[in-house]
Amino acid sequence: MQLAIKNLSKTYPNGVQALKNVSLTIGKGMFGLLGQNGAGKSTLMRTIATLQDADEGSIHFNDIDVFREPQKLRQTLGYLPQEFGVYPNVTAEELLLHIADMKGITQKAARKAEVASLLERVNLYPVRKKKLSSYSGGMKQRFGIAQALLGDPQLIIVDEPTAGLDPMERNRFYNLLAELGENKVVFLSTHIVEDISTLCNDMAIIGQGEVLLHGKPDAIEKELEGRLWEIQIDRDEWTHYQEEYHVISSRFHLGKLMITVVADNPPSGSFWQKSPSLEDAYFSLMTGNLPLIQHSSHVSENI
Amino acid sequence: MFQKIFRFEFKSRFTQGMTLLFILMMLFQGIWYTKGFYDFYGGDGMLMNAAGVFYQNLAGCGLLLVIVVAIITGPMLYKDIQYKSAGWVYSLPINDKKFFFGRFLTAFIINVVIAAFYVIGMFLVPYSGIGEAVLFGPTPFGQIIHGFFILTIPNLFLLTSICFAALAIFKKPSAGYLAVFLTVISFLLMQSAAEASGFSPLNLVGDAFGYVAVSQQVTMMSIPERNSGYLDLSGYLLINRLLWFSISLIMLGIAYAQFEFKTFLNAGKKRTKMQEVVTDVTPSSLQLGVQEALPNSHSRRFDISAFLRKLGNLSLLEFKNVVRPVNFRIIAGILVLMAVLQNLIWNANYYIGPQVPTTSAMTNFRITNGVFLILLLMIWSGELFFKDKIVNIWQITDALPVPVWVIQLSKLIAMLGVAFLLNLIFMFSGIASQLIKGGASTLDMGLFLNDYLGYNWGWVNHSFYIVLTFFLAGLTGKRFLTHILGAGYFFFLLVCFEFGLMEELRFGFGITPGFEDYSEINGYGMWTGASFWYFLMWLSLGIAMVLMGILFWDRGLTQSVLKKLRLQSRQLNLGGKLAIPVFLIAFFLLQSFVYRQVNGEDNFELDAVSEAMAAEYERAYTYLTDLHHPKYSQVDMAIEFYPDERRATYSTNVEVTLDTRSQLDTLYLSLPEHTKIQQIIYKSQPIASIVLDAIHDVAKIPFSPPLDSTITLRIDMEKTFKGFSQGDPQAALVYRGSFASIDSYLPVIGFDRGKMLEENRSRAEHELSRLTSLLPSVEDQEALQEDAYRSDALLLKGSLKIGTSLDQTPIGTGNQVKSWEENNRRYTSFEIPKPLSLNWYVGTGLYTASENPPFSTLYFDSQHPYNVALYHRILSLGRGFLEQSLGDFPHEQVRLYEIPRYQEAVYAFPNGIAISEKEGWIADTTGLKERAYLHHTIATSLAQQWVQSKLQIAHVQGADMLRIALPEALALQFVQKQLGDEAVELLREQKMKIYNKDRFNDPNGEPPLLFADGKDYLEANLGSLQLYDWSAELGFSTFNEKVRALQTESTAHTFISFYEQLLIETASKEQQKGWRKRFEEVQD
Repeated sequence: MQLAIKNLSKTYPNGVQALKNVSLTIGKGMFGLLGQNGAGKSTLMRTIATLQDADEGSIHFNDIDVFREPQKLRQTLGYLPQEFGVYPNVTAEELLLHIADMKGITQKAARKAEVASLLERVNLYPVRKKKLSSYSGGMKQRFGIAQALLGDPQLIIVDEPTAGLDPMERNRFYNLLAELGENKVVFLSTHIVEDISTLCNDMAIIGQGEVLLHGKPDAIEKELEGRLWEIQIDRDEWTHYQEEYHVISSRFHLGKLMITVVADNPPSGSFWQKSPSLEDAYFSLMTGNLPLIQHSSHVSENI
Repeated sequence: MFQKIFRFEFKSRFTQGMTLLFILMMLFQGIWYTKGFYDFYGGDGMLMNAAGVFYQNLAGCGLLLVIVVAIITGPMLYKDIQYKSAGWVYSLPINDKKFFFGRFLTAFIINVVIAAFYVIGMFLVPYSGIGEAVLFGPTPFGQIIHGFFILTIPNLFLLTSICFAALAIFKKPSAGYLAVFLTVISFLLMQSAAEASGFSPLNLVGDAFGYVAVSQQVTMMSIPERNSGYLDLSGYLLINRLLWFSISLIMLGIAYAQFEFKTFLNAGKKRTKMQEVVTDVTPSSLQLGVQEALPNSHSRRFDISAFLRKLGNLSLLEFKNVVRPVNFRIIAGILVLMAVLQNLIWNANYYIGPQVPTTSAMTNFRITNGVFLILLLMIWSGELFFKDKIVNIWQITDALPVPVWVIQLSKLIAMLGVAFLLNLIFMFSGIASQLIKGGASTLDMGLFLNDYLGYNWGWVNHSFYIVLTFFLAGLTGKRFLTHILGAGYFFFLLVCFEFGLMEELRFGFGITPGFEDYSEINGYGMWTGASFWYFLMWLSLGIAMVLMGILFWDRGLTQSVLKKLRLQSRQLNLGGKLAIPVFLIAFFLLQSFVYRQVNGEDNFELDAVSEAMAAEYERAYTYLTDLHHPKYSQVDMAIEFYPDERRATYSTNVEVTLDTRSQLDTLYLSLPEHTKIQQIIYKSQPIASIVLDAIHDVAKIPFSPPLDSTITLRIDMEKTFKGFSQGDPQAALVYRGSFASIDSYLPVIGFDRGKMLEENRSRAEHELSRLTSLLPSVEDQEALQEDAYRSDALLLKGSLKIGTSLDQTPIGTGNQVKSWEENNRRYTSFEIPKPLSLNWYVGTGLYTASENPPFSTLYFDSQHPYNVALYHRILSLGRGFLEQSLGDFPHEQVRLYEIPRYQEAVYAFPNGIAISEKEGWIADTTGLKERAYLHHTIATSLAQQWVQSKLQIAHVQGADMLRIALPEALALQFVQKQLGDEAVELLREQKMKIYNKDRFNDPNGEPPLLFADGKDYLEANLGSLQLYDWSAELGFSTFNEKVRALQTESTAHTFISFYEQLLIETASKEQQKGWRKRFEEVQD
């Protein structure tokens, strides 16, 4: 089971190049796509989900050529877009039954059973008879998750799925995804780095339409092993440290400013070594201090 | 606070595409309603842009404005609940009451601004091209602004405050819509009550919009006042305005008092409470991790049968989605209410007055309201087609494994279902109305089904416009562009056909011919076939458009039109893609077929072509006016009608007589339309040397050596209509109820004035001399010798033998001699035993007969027996009146025929009268007005027969004052004697209405009565009233003696000589001066 994206490029009519020669090979399990807003994540996801054409390149899921056989891909796809609405005058159950029907579950009893089961799983069963217009944002998101999982999809694409969910629901949802990832390809897009590190066995970072990095989260983290240093400074020292060091991030801790810098050797002063996280790697990459593109081929070969 | 709210809301409202659509709708309504009011009330002599028209426009508000107000106003207060923004908006540091008042004022001002475009539409009326320049006066700016302030603005204030009050009290969005709906219902009820039973204090004051009070005032205004006067804000109108303004204030006060953030917020929260509880306390949500297996994957089907089943299910679901919302039900409710009211009340006034409940009257709603219905359906369709994009679920639905054709077709089918449902409701409301009005015996279910569900401006036509929207949605991929293009194209079609910018129906998508020309006698006749072919043509295009709509539909992100046109989309398989050109080719082939049937068979010509042909004829043959031509002196015609084939063959023995001044070297015959000469026999030999100008239908028959005496010819001809027409009912030959003058059969000898260009503007365009009159002057000695009925004939004797199919009855002129059956056909022979004008009519119809021996026999449609006894009675009384007033009546027998609706109102000819089915046969004659009309119609016809038989009228100016106005005036005397002065006044009102309405449309200008030259609006209306008034002044007996004396004169009569005799009888110089002014000058 494999999703293969080759040399995918897309330029919008307004001249914005959303995807630049993107190539990724994704196997069974959870794959995380990390990137800033506007990096091209949603364009890539929509393209895989058959909602958008590319100018160049190809996408294959197993033996399905997505551009030539979109209908076949849709038969095995579960897609949760980043933003979506619902029909206001229908209930969750009605709409899910309708979507199940659209997904080819033709037997009424089977449809009802699967919908009921998913409603339970996403904790909407008690309100299944309520109109969707009355749902809160979190409930709507759970509804979206349910519809994506209908019909036993083999490829699940979830674009920023945990937006609007409370921590409990978020956790629950990730558990669900992790379970699904055992037998399916789950393509998760997020800008929450922690989500990737927690869930994904493979990941890519995308920026300005290009794949900046592709690899396993722990391997990416290891790239910074022994090269990260942290120090607590006063606010008025910030400019000085920015000029002197490769600062990749800053945060406040107990009212004091903590900065993280990358350096091959211990910097002078009261820096202490920091154990690297995926977030550090991400920041490092975004600030141009982590040239790790080469990882992608290495990781892909291991799949 | 108000400024902040207003600035934000106003900006967001007027940057929405939908608002642009509202504005366009308002502009359209301003123009359209003006025309509608003018057409309906314009008989009062108002200019089309008269202040009186605009006042009524402004008071009525209009259906579109009310709908727009309902759409804008409710959400203005409720949107924070609807979109769940109330949580933060209501917690801002603002005062609830100030907030409420700010939103109210904003909604009100936005409504006023939108309504201002309705006013702008009215300002644009003179520039819209909907009428001749002469119909427009200076724009009454002051009056429009006045009306806007005293009528429209208070009405908008009322609607806004009632809507806000309902929302504040009931805290449901539907309450706002319902409040507006109920207000409109109350207005409609009051208006219809006023229409049905006249103005009363209740409807004058109780009408929420003040429309009834405005109508009352306008009705009582003089013509100049209607054109430019100001409405008088006093009496009932003032009371009405004050009352409803007070009600508005009370409503606003209630709403103001009721509205609080706390309580209003709870209205929305009631529904979410349960959800919060579920989310928070359900145990499962507290358990982390996976506690059960995912659902089993069930077998799934993606074959064609599964998709077809989905299509059915989805269509039903989408249909429910459209009809469930409250706003749909409210709009549909208003439409149904309008249908019921029209069928029960308004429809009754469509023709001369109340009529018996026939099915054709009950299906008329679809014609009068078709424009609005189609517009609404197009808007609903656009909203449904883009529903997934509107609610932003498209990324989910477009990624589902269902082909586009299933998803989009289901929406299309749903909308077709909605249109079907609406038409079904209108149909049942029509059936119910007919039953309520006692029309069970004439209920025609076939016609109901055909009209409402077929392609005579019914469901099928509506469906074509839904398909157009579907295509545009696919092509553009943009919701508002679809609305604007769809509505824009529809308005463009309406305007083009209305104003003659486009004449050929085959260019008007979805339009089929003849839907307004249903006759209970002839049914849809030739239109049945014509509309079928147009339907097939639009169906072919429609199917191609549906396929293209699927092919082009943006699944996923919107694509450029150019990209769509590359046809690379996989949304249609190869078969589907190939079907598009196949159906387009079928469409073009059908277009070509229709063109051949309509244009190719000479059933239609563009106005420009007709005018050019007429000008060319005049230039080519005007020399004939300088030649001496023989005249018909005896006509014996045997005509065989074949109604099923719309064909007639006829053999006419004609005697043509030369005057003593010349010899005949060439006989020029101008052939009537759709006729051809088969042969002409002279001295038992066919004439071989006939030269035919096929372009102008002129036959030249040379005689060598020239003749100098009376000769007899036998002319064998055929008249036939092939193919079908797109506008002309071709009434001379139809399946049931053919009827036409002999002019449609017998060639004109010499120059045919009927083929001339008559309008001076067109003549100037074709460089022809201006006509000062359509009739020769009284100084024209040649014309003084010609007969007014037919200038190429002397008074003549003759005979007619008419054959038709066995089930039909021949219609003929003169004494009916005998009837018989022969060769499975029915024949009747007629004779004209004494010399009369060649004013003959022939035809054939499917009739039931009713005799009242020895004088009258009626031939009528078996469904229309309602006024047969009354007609017999009036015929008898009318004859008695004429005998008493003018001496012996010329005919021992008179036949009265019912002819189809689309014919002129009445025809009178020797021994015969023909009356259109809409002019009395189905009238409800319980009212004085309708009885007066029937009395007058019959008496006029009898008097015309007297005039035709007793007087020879010269073919000069004023001829129709004797042929038409005089009989009409005599008939008014009859009505006065039978029914009294009130009946005459009712007829006077109607005649002045017609005169005042149509005089401004005369392209050559209105002549004085003394020189009247055959204008429909003039002699029969103003002319007859003036003569009647003169007869009343002189005394009926004195006047009638003068008329009676005319028959003793042997020369051809002119009106001027009769007029001078009347002047002599007039007592005083002052009175003479008055009559001179009325007859020798055009009315102010």
